[in-house]
Amino acid sequence: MAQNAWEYFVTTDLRISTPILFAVLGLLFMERSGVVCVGAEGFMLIGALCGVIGSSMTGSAFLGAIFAMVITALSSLFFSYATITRRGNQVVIGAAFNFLGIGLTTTVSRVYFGVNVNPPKVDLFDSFLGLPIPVYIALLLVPAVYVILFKTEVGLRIRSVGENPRAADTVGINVNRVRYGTIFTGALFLGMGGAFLSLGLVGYFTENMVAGRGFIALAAVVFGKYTPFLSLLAVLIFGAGDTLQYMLQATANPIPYQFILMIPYILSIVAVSGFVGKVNVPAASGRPYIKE
Amino acid sequence: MGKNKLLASRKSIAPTITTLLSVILAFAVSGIVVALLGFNPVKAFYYIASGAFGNKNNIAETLVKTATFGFCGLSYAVAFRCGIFNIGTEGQMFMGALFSVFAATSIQLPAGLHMIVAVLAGALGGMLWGMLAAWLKVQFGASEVITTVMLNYVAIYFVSYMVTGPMKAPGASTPTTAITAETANLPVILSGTRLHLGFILLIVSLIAYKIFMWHTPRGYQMRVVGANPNAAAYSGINANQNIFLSLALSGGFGGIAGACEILGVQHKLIQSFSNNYGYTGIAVGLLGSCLPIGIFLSAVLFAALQSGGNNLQMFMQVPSAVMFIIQGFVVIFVVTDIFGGFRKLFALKTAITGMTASKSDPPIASAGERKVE
Repeated sequence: MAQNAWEYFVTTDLRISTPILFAVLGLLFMERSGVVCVGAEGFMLIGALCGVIGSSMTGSAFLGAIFAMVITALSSLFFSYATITRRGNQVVIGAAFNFLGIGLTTTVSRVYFGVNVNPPKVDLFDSFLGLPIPVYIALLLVPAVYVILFKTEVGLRIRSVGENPRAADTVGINVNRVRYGTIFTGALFLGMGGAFLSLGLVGYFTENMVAGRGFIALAAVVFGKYTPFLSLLAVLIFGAGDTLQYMLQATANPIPYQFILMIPYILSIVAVSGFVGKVNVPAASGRPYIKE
Repeated sequence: MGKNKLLASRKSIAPTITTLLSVILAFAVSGIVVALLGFNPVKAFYYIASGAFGNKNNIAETLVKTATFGFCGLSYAVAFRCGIFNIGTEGQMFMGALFSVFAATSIQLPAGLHMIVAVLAGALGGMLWGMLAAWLKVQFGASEVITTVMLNYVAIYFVSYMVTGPMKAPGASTPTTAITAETANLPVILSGTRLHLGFILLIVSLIAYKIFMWHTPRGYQMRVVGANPNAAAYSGINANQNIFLSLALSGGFGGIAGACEILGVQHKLIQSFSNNYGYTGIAVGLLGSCLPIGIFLSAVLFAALQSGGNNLQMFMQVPSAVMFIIQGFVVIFVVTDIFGGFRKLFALKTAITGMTASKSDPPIASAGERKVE
């Protein structure tokens, strides 16, 4: 029994952490290049809806996920144009993207699937050893993203743009092009995170189904000190809280579930306030670059 | 710079015109989206307009929402003027609503006094939540952009706990608090409608905001901190003190927005009492350039979209979520100064005619660019 409980705990934690982990990996690219993406929530919603639409059109969850990633990344170009080319405030534009995400996905899903019908049957992700395959992909991507960001020249460019765009510019790095690239790459991941939510966890699209996971991902990046492995740990810790809440719901639970749901947010506040060592927020975070 | 639009410092009509053009463009793009989804956009906008202004009751409903959105916009504006990005109005609203509903259900006072106490309780709730973010920033250097976003969720879950647990009305089948006492409610000011005293309170608050921010030394200090933290430091202005005050006021207005919804409209607190109203406040404040009249007009616009959106859903089966699309495009087009070229043209004209003097220079520094020492 105890064995089963542990197994249940680990698999559930991994399962519910995966959409957030994809989002975190995408956000790492953006944040490291000095882009704050409050709009993660909106991008994930677009991914979640497009995943279901793609899967229902092609009959394949894999192709659905690709569709979700492409559409999310394409819509990120609008975000890039507004924040990088037009130098609009990233936080405000990000918040506006959350509105666009809710509005567009709700409207399109009602038009595409209709109201008051049973959710359409779409192809979902295949499983391996009891877990949907993208779970393993997400875990394998953690070291991959680490290597890209910290051991390659591309990563060095990305980080230098986030820390000191002026210096990066002087050595010939095109700051805005790098940021367009990181936002595009990040959006691919965010779209995948959304698609895993609808095609891997829930099985269909519901309105506003991301339900704060975009913000949890932001919290995890801060709590993980803007590094892939620590952020993975943060995601798993947050997920563990959620899992415990599910498991305890069945039994007499002394802690109201709302307090468990607060944990990620409180921990990230604690982290950003410097109680767990210094968080190295990229120095140029949130600032548009003006070439002189 | 893209920020020029919302930071427009010339007292000319150019910013107003470019803002209007941005709003029109946002409507046009949203109309295209609606058309692509297979609906008639002209008909859709007709239903939004008639739903918002079609008859006395619709106008009153629009003004009811104007009160809530106006306070949310004020909440964003008062912090923004001091160079602070308060993304936490939503959470401050939740805390305000919680405090307000507590005062309105658990204590007994004569009519009038009870109402004042309940509104002030709401302001206090929001204020404490805003001050928490201010304390984290001033004491530990925690970016308010991150903390206020996170505190939103803490507040929402806390309210969820209170209305499902300690404050749940006995015998209620769904999680809700008890009904607010009649003595605490904001009275209706237009009979036969739901238009309540909160609307008058908003007008008064906007005037008070105008006087405080542009005609008092403290307001001047706050604007200097927002415009140029270094200049503020050199002239001996205590930035931290001003940041604290601006976030306290900002939270207070957010709290009053929550109190308005509770005491004027809903008369009880449920988990989902706010449909992202606090986030709408960002759009209201930005679109109104954080100026009193601007905030009022943009609150009316978003309130009209909200009440018109319901009509749209009823008669055309177009989801009222279309409102969010319009809102998103409005913010993006306004913030990115999509018609900046026009603005420069007008600025040139006004420069020639010598109309450049301005008392209302908004902040230049953004949250990301400044560091409190």
